[in-house]
Amino acid sequence: MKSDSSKNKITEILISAPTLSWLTVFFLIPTIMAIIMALRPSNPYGDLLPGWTLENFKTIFSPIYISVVWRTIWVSILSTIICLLFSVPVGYYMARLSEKFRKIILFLVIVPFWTNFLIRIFAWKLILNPDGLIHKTFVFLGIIPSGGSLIYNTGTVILVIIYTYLPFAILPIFAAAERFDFKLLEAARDLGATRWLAFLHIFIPNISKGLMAAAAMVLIPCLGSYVIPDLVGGTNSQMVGNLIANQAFVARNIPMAAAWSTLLMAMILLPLGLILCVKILLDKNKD
Amino acid sequence: MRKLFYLLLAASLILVLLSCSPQKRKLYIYNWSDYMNPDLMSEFEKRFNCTIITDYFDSNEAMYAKLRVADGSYDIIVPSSYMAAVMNHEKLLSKLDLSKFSNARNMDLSYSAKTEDPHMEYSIPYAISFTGLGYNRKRLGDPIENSWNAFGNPAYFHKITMLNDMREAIGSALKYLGYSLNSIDDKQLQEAKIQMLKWKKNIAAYQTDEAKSSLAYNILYAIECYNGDIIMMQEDNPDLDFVIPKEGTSIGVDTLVIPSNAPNPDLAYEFVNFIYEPENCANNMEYIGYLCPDKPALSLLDKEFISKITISEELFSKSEVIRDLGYGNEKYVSIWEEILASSD
Repeated sequence: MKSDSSKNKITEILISAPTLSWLTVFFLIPTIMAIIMALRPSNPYGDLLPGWTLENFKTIFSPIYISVVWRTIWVSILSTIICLLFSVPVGYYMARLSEKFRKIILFLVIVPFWTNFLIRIFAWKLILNPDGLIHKTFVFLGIIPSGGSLIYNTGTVILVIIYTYLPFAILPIFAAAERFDFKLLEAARDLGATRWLAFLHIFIPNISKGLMAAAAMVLIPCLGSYVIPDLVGGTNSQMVGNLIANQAFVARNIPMAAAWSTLLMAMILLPLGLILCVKILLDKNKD
Repeated sequence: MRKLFYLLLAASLILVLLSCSPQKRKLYIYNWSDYMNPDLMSEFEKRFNCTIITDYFDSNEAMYAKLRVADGSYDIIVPSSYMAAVMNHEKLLSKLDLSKFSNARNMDLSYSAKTEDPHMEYSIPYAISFTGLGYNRKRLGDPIENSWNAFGNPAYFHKITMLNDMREAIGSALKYLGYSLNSIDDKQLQEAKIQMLKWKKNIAAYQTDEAKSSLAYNILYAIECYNGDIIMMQEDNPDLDFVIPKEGTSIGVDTLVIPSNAPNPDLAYEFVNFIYEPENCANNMEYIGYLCPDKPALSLLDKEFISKITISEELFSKSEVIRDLGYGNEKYVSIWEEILASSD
């Protein structure tokens, strides 16, 4: 018995070794390097100076940046929620489709990845153009004034973020829904649950792992957004990613950029830790 | 089938051997994209039996960061004057031996005079740009307000952008207020910040390259940009126009420099001399759409084109070149981030 479990442990370690070393080389070491870099002083020529400082971290917590950090958080969370709201029904219906149609829909979900991400963002500028149909319809319906613009505001940033990351939410939810036994829903209905109640109490808990994965897949890249607010955002759409770019490319201050990256990392690891805790709790409840 | 395979193998071997033949020298250039006529480069390759290898950068800072870790990889770099000064300060550039450039004698040094290197000690002016307002005449109806205060004009509400470049953007506010765009006076910078915050409420965004496509798509009617941008865009859209605000502007002086650790400095000198041959220089100006202050080359160009790439004496005297401010830079960074982060 004992030798069996130790054998299992060795296999476990061997199997996870490639992933672990990958994560160490490309995630753990760079993360530690960024944190160390954030503690270094520097001069305006981009040279690192000897010694250590907490000045960079003091700067990022100064009150002028609160609005940017807060915007980064709420834009990311709102985008994630909307992505999930869209992808749950999509995943549900995709899983119920016949093999043939499912493949077609799956193909359609993946097809945007064939086009470069930047080109797709530029396409939005054409779609929302003031000479375009959408803009004209909105003006006709009185949603926006005729001189108004659909581009250069935070709403458009959220729209484009949702568009970009929606497939990342659909795929894990679909994968979870595909494994779901839809007979359970029928059983719930037989036992008197309404369609909505059955969906909420049977389907949703059963795809919870997919939901968690989808939330992480959307939230994490959202928090690091840089290109989208840069391209379609207005004067009040800056996110933490833009501050990092400004420090690295304009101010020549790599330690400051590293301090912002560290904050971003903390913002990402915190919800990830939460998701992990919830997952562990859920698993425990099942036992 | 097998024959074909061996034939291909032999051919590729010959190619490999040819490409490493010792006689063929290599010239490594680090440049902005689309910033040198490729025909000229291939002519140089033919004339001097060499190969030119070009790498591209999209910001002075990115180029600088790379050079610091890859010093010794380039023979010629095209930094803006302030960055050339930083590189010189960090001892990355070689002192130029002007006796080796027969063609540099006729350079108009009035632009260099506004930079940190007035006597071409380590940099040679390559392309001069002027910051101003590019706009769509048809969409605006009238010519645009000839002032930096156009950013605050309610007629252009959310249809105008400022450059996403702290020195250019804050510089235009400083110019509007009548100050130097290299000011490090706290009071003046504070006033500029207040002016910027006023403009911020009226403009659509701070954008550099992306604004150009928005102007082309009619999403924007006016953008802060460089004169060469509009010259290039006018080819597709004759409704576009460019104006330099009456308060004066920032003059960009991009320069050619030879790093101190250039692998092939002799060839670099040959190349610089070649590029400043009057016909080549004129040809290159037409290609990139920016002024090179080489007098004999300018005499080869037609008046209309010259008027597009130069500015009036009066504006010239009011305009300045952005300089590196050393520790003063930090003042701009903190003001810029405060402006970006502020919400009304």
